Amino acid sequence: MKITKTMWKHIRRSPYQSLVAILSMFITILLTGFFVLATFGSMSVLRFFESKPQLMVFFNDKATEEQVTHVKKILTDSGKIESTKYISKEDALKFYQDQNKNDPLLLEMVSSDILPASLEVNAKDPSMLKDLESLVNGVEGVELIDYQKDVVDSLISWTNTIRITGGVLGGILTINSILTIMTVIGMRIATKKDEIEILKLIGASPSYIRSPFVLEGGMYGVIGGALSWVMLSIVTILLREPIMSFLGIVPDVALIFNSLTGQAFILFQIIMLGSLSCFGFLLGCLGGIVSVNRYLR
Amino acid sequence: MIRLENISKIYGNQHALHEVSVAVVDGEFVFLIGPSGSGKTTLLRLLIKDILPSAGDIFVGDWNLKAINNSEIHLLRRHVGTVFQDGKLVTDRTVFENISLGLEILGKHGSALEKDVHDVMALVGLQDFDNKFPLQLSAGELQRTAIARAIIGGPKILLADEPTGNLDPETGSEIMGILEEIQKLGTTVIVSTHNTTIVDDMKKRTITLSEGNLVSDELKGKYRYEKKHEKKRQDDKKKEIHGKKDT
Repeated sequence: MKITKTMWKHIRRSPYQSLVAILSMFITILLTGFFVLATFGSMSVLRFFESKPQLMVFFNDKATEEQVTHVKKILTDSGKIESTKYISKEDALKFYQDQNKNDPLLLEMVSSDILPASLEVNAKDPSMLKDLESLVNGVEGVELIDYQKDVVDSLISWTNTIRITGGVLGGILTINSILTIMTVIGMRIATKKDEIEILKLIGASPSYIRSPFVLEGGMYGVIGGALSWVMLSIVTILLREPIMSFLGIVPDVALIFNSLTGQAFILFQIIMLGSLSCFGFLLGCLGGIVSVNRYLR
Repeated sequence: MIRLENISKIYGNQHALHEVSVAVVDGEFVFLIGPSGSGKTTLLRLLIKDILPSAGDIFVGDWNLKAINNSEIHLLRRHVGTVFQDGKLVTDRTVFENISLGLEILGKHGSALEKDVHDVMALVGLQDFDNKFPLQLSAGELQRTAIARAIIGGPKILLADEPTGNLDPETGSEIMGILEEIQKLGTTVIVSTHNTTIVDDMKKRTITLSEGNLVSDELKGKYRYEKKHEKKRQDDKKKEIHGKKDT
């Protein structure tokens, strides 16, 4: 309790230094939080697309059962696929009828003869789709190979870009924040030099002397984290409509952003607040620890 | 029990202490005297491991100071209270807060802390000074506060480095009275001073240092003065007798 009191006294007595530290933490945590959210969002979208059949191998009308089995074997032997599912002409018709049950005209025009049999393939990783395509391209019985190349490719590219940019920017800002906290705490230690000396002489333990400084760093982080949460919450609330219209088909996104008063959204906010505050606290404490180790030997 | 065995301390090429060996038993009151630069403060700083000896061994209670590592020094210092000439009080804390620091570092707080602080404040004569800041205190009051902070944790040993250095003779005597009271309660008290008047007024063991060497270790005070004056009286009498004979 005394340690907390001392920490608050430190913060109160030099508000401008504290403000600089809090602002630095706020910017770091805000941007890191933004990139983490963006990474999770894009990964969630990518996961959604990955869960769909990624590669469709359409067979021509003359394809025999042996040819289908051969194609299946080539794909399985490659070790790059999770599963395959054979869709016969009849299954394709059923699927077509299900999808167009409200349009009798479309139903009348189609019979199983004009729909091709196909093989739905789920790859272990979307980046392997190109290899899989080249394996079965031109094999006897295969008429057409189709996969959402552009969508998956650009999603992978976006996710990687966000991840790398976020990682690099987050790393730089984290170092900047640690240095700022170090400087602020270092200045604080310098102004408290006499008091620290007295505490040492009267038998205060190293942890008693160090704790207020480390906690002070942690407190800057918690405040910065809480402010970042406020900002990110406002942004997510304001962007709810566009997010839902673009990404509403992704189940994870729809679940969270369906309603602002829904359980999922509230839980999402609580997790976000907790994560940002904890991240800030750990970052601030780290800055504090580095500083006391440097200046309080 | 404090034991210094052949302690030397060298700063650069200057001997601050040279092969000093001293033992102080529990509950003793000892003066450490000598001119400025004689090694008094160095000796006291060695006892709280504020500095390390260049040679020799120091034993304080059950501790061999050579064997104590940095993470344990605070435990030694809780056992050895220290009063400095300048008081070393935290200027932005009140008298009460300064004294309570001695208990807070031990993890004590709440009403038990308040009671102990007020008891010690009464012992050193600082009642009603709770909310005063060090800058509002006289030199004597500063020293009382420093003494209170040093003894509040119940140390077995109290070191006082020139506690009367900034005080007028009357206040100095009061401070020495407080230190004597503390010794009577069972604490070993070692006081460094170059104020021989105070030493002479109190009949205590006195260790004399000069240029880092132990010059003497004896009982001094009124006893020595009485002997000295008696000798002087006898000499005067002899001179008077010889003078009468000559005429």
